[in-house]
Amino acid sequence: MQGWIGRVTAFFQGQLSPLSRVLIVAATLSILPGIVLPTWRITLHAPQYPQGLTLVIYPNTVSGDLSEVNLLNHYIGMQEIVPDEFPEFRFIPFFILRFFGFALLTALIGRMPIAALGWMDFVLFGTVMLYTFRHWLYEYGHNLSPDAPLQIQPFTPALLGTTQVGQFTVTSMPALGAILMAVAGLIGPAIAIYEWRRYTRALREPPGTSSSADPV
Amino acid sequence: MMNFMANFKRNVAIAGAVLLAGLGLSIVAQSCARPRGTDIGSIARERGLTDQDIVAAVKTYQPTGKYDEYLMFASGGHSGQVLVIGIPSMRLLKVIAAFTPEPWQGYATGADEHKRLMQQARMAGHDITWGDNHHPALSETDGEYDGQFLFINDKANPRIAVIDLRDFETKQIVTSPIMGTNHGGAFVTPNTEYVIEPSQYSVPLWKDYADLDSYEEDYRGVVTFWKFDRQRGRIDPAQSFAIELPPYWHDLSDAGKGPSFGWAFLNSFNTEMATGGIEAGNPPFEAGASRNDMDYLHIINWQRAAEVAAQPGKTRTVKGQRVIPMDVAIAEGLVYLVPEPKSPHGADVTPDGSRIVVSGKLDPHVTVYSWNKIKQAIDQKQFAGTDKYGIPILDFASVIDGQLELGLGPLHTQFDDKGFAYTSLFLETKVAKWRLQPLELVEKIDVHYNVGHIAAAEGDTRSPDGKYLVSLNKWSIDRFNNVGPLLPQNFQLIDIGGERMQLLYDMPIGIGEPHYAQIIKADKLKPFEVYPEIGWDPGAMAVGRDVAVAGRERIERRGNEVHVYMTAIRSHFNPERIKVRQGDRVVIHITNIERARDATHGFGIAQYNINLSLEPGESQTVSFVADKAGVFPFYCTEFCSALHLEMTGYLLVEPR
Repeated sequence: MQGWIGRVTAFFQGQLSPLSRVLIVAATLSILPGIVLPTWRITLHAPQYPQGLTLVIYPNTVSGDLSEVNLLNHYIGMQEIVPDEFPEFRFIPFFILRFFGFALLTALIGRMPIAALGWMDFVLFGTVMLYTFRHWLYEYGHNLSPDAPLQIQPFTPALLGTTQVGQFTVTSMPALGAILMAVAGLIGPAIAIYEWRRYTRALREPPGTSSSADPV
Repeated sequence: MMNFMANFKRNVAIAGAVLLAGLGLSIVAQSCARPRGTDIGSIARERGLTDQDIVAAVKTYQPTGKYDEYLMFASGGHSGQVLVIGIPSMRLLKVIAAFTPEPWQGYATGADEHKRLMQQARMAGHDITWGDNHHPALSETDGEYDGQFLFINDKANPRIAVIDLRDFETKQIVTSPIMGTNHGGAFVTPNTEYVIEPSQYSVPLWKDYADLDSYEEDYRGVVTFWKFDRQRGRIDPAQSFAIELPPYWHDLSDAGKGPSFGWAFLNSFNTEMATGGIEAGNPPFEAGASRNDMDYLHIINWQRAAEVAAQPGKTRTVKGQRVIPMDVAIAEGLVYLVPEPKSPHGADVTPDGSRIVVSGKLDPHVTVYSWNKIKQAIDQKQFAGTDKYGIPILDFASVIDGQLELGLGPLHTQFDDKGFAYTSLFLETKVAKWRLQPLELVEKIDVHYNVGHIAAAEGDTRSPDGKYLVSLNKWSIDRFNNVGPLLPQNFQLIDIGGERMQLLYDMPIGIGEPHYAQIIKADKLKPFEVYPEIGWDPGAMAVGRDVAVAGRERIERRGNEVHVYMTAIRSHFNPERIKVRQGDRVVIHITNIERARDATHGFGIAQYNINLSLEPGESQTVSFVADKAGVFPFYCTEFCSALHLEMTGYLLVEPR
């Protein structure tokens, strides 16, 4: 038991391999476009909207057919969606920039603890953001005006997948920015597995043999 | 006895009724028992359709959501409007209001913009609420339709309407106070430099009134060249001019292109200068105006005329219109005549601009004039003489390419992409297909009935498309269900793409007798889907200056004027209550702040004769005096949404 903890501790104090550093650089490059790329896409389909209506959520705003969606929402007494009123939009781009910087630093220094810390930070941020998103979906679907011309059951549009609201089929899906960030997030565990194997192999082999110096 | 007969009759009637009912039941039972055909063959048998019919159906049917390849802009005849029809489906897509109020489009039913337009359109001190639309003309660039503007004439009240094809709305109406009526226009020059409008029935030109006794001295024909300012999308009357012509009656015209660029060709009839008077024992016009075998095709150098009109002292201004007097026109070489078979209708320039095809309803031939020969004769001053007014006349035989007998009553000619020409035969009620070189009749097809104009796909441009031709028939007689003694006209679509012409479709026209039409490739048109910006003034084609803005809706009193700044969006007006005092002048500035396609709102005020159509982004102003006290609901007159009925409000006019 003692040995196991010691091994893990030792592992986390280790140095990253060049391959892992390259992977981290790749991760930074897939995080960065997320500042300008759409993060999430909500489409609304109804017979009288043959092209559908789309809300495109960016790290800093909502665009697409926002005015038409707001117009429709007023019938069920939903609050108007005003991008400027979401505090999240003010800091998300800076967070993305921060992750980018942090990951770049990790790749340069190549220390395992920094990498682990950065990854956890990133995943925590992502989870909190998804939760916030889900919270807003709940808020907008439940905070319905009692004076609305059309009274409907409060609802929560699905974060991922489709919801039926009246004649509208609402589909919510991550867009390219979020997908790229998810890929960047998955690089973390991939590196961890790879480094762990590399570390245990090094332990098995006696010190001084040539292959442990650099597996790449 | 009487009683018995009455009973007998009743019994027979009952027996007959029972028999008929039984027969009816058995027919119903039979048709219920037999399953309706689902394969094409059995459906066709049930409906009595031939193989030809099925081919025609397949060539014209448009499933839902499929667009037509061509759009036809057809004159709406007496309606004073323009019809937009898809080809090959022959579906009516729109009626563009031009000269006549049209409530759905909110055209001249309250909006201040249209009050100004209708003010422009007045003639002889009269409000004119109808038009006799004849000839639509699409704007051209380099002799090809460019899909930007459409012009149409009103024959009865000599006027031209300018329609902007960005929103398919009329923007301007110009009047011709120096004409009695017009007919030959509207036709455009190859780059829409000018819109040509010739007069028809001559009236006194230089004085307001002259008796018919002095017809030859005082009555005159004129041809007006309206200068078109494409940038502004308006005719510029100040830059326009007319040419004084003899008091013949002028008919159709066409502009030269290619080698004949710069010239215009204009038919005439009644060169006899008959003045009628059947009641005084004179020959009626129909005889008096058809006495001579030949009338005159007018050959006009409009390019040179424009230069002459710009020179000082070369024009006289009559009723605000600059006119080049006939003696100046002759001296400057602006006008020539060449005989043409009597009572001509069409004067149509071939796509390459090398020939002019003229046909007259009383001569079975088409006459093909050679532009080269005409130009040569003019250049070498080879004239056969002059008319009574001194206009040089070219020798008929030496300027024609030839004549071809087509049949009875040839009227109008269109062209295709394979060197064929098509001419309507009014009396035979056929369309003749013929070759230009060598002159040869190829085929005739029956049309129903009494064809006037014909329109082929881009058939009067430099590069006709062939494919389709529409026969614009004056009579329909037995083609449709009986709808009473006033019958619709009949547009017949003909496939001219194949070896032989095939009749495809009959479309009844129930709002007026159309004359000419033009068919443009649909992809040349690029209209707005919604107005580009909120607050758009369609009159200025820009965002309006004093428009209602979302968030700044208000009611302002300025003395006895009440200004209402109102927005419309699904499903409410804002404000919804307008309270004024009897006698106040009410000015409502209303903006549709929608951005969704088709989210049009109407604005109708009960009993005040007001209805506006506000398309997405559009802003209009309506002003009126609240002269009648009371409570007047206003509401959205376009079914806009599920809560459309609730899109309403009250105009409260407090009694004084």
